[in-house]
Amino acid sequence: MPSARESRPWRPSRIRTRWRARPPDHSRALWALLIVLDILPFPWGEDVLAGLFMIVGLALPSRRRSALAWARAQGAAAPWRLAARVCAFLGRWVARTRTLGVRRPEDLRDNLVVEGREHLTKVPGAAILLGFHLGPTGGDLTFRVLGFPVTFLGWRDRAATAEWWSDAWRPFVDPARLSFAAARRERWSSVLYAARQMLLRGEKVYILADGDGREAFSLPLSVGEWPMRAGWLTLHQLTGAPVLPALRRLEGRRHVISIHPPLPPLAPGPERDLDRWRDCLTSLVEDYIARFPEQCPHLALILRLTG
Amino acid sequence: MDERTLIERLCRVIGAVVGASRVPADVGIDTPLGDRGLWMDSVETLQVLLASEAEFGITFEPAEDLAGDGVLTVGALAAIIRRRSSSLAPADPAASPPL
Repeated sequence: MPSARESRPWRPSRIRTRWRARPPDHSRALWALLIVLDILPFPWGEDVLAGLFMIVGLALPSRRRSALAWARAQGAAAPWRLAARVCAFLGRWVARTRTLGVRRPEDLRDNLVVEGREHLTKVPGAAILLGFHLGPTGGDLTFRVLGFPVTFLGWRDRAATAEWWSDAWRPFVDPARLSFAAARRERWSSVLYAARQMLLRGEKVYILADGDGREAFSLPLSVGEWPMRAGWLTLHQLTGAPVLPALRRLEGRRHVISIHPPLPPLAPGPERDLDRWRDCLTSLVEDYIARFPEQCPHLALILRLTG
Repeated sequence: MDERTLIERLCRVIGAVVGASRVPADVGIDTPLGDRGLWMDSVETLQVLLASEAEFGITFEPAEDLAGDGVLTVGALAAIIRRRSSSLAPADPAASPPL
């Protein structure tokens, strides 16, 4: 275990350790940039990365086309401005994944706001918090830092980048206690099995609706169809645990988590009920897109849903 | 229960979940559950795990049985079922009332 002094991101030994331990999530150039920018205090590194992503996004023809098409699909009065902001947000998304410049969990907690906390506290036992690829990332880490006993079910785990984190973060990125990540597609069924057991024990899990796996249904958004995956729906059907949509956004520097009331219980005639869920989720996401179109780079630049 | 019987019972369980037409006659211990094998997705694999619990009267322990690479082949799943079945066996006589 490195000492606190050795954990400082500007120490050469720490830089070398981080470089050697980098996972293949990003290019070598981006990892180098992240390591350097993490030396800066929050939010300077994030702002620099957002600016660089904006410049690169507008310079790359394919990304620029996607960003502009997204901006025009939103009816933006100044499409170039929205295109630039959505490219920049992708940089903020990456920065938030690595908590760039945030030295201690307390610093992250100070910038977290939870809306609709009462919806979660009203659920005494098992619950499925349903996230989306919208807004800032880090739904797992934010719940942990806030002290919510929520287990993250996902594709990649913070432990995959264990050497990235300083000692202050280690209790929050320990996979044994509060997360269960697949890392490989073949393991996802094992993750779902473990999640079912957690829910049957009355625990709470956080899972992305639009992650990986079989498509259950899609949301008919104005910009196109957005596939929702079957994992979370299967967990609900197997356990009866209520499903609470949890959307995230940035308001200035603050990371806001908005927890919504549980989706209405499924009754006999599942096809019709799924239509109700589809309508409910579509409404939530459409509202989000209308309010925060710049915070949807996954839809705009990766899925390229532009109507 | 010999290996062949176990695999046959397991194939019946898989057939009940995904449809018998997706389980070819030449399924063996090396047949992958997913790609280039039975082509089961994660939800189908989960359903097979749950159906196996009911069929063989076992409960999987995720940390022991499903860690590492997960359940990749028919043979790997059969081995876990065999291990779980044998671990239950000694407890059964003591748990059962005398006839």
